[in-house]
Amino acid sequence: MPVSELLLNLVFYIVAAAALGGGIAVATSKNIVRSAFALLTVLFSVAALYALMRADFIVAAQILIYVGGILVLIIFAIMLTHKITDVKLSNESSPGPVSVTACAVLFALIIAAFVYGYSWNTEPRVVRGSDFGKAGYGELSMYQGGGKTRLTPAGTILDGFVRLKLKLRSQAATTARAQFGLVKLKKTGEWEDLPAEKPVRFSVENGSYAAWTERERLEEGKYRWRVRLVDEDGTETPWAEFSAVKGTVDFASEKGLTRAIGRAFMGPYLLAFEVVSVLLLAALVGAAFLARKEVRE
Amino acid sequence: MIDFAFSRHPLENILVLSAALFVLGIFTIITRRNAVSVLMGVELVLNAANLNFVGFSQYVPGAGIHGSMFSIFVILLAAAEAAVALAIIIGMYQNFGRVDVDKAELMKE
Repeated sequence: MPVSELLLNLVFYIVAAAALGGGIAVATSKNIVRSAFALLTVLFSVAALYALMRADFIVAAQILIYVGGILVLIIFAIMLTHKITDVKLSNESSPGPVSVTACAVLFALIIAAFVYGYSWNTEPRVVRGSDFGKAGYGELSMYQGGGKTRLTPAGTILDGFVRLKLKLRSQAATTARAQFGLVKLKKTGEWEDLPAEKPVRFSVENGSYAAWTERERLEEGKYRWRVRLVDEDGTETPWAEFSAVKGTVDFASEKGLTRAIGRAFMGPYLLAFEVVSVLLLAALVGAAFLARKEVRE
Repeated sequence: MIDFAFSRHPLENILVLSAALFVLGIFTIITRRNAVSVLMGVELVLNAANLNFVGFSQYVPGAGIHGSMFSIFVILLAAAEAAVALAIIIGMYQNFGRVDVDKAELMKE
């Protein structure tokens, strides 16, 4: 395991331990102010986890709304419902054996459901084969990062590479060589050729090709792989486009989630966005109404 | 042999962590008497759910952005919920002088 990967795991486990420790303190602390500050730890740790998952906009929303808004409200609630001179801001809890057992069983059930209920496939899958005529049949698989995770929109911080593997199954495969390229989806819906092999590098090992490209070095947009073979005598097969479903996108290069989220808010989520804004207004008015001093005639 | 490394199995790690946070939140909700503490437990549960949403959105191929959108809506609803809960808790404190959820039995009568 390379150092950067080790470091990533270390950061994740430190942050996860902080989140768990904070959660335990929220659940068990005798002092309610300590509980509130433990909740602060949990919220910041969860924000750090979002950052590890490359969900940048959610990190900002989490810190602004949860830490800056909700936690302040909770601390207000604590301070307004205790006499400020109380030395002992007690935080009664009644953890009987029943509640402990119930929670332990719940946790075990959830974990069992994750581990045995569904297999989270992380192996790269052969998505499509391509016929290269005389050179034979090629099998393409695409994956990301160290080769274990399938292609996902985020990956981890380290998964900056998108890889394509080509295995040729023919005698002719030993004499032919493969060329890799990328096509980019234009706004008009057409596919635009990128200069061949410029953003793509590849290596050959026993007739098995591995091509990769760095996401960060590509412009924002949607991309698709393509492959062709060149024989010894220079004849080229037509480009074979690599896509699981004809006409779909293989992978996208996006710098963060913010642009996509903004578009989704103004597009498919417009109604929900407006409803939430009305709900926030209603909650504001309702909270002010509930909390005001009652005027008795 | 199970590989626990985050870099190899990011989704599973996130799911297990969020399950732990969820259970801790449930534990807080069912054992605490103070209404503010119960509110904190609810926040823990919502954060666990949000972790799941973002995890699935980012690590399931083809999931798109919808999980992240849901997590933003959950955060917004949590803000509204916390504001209303604060108002209710302060009302409780004005009426009963304390904010224990098992003492608030006004609706029984």
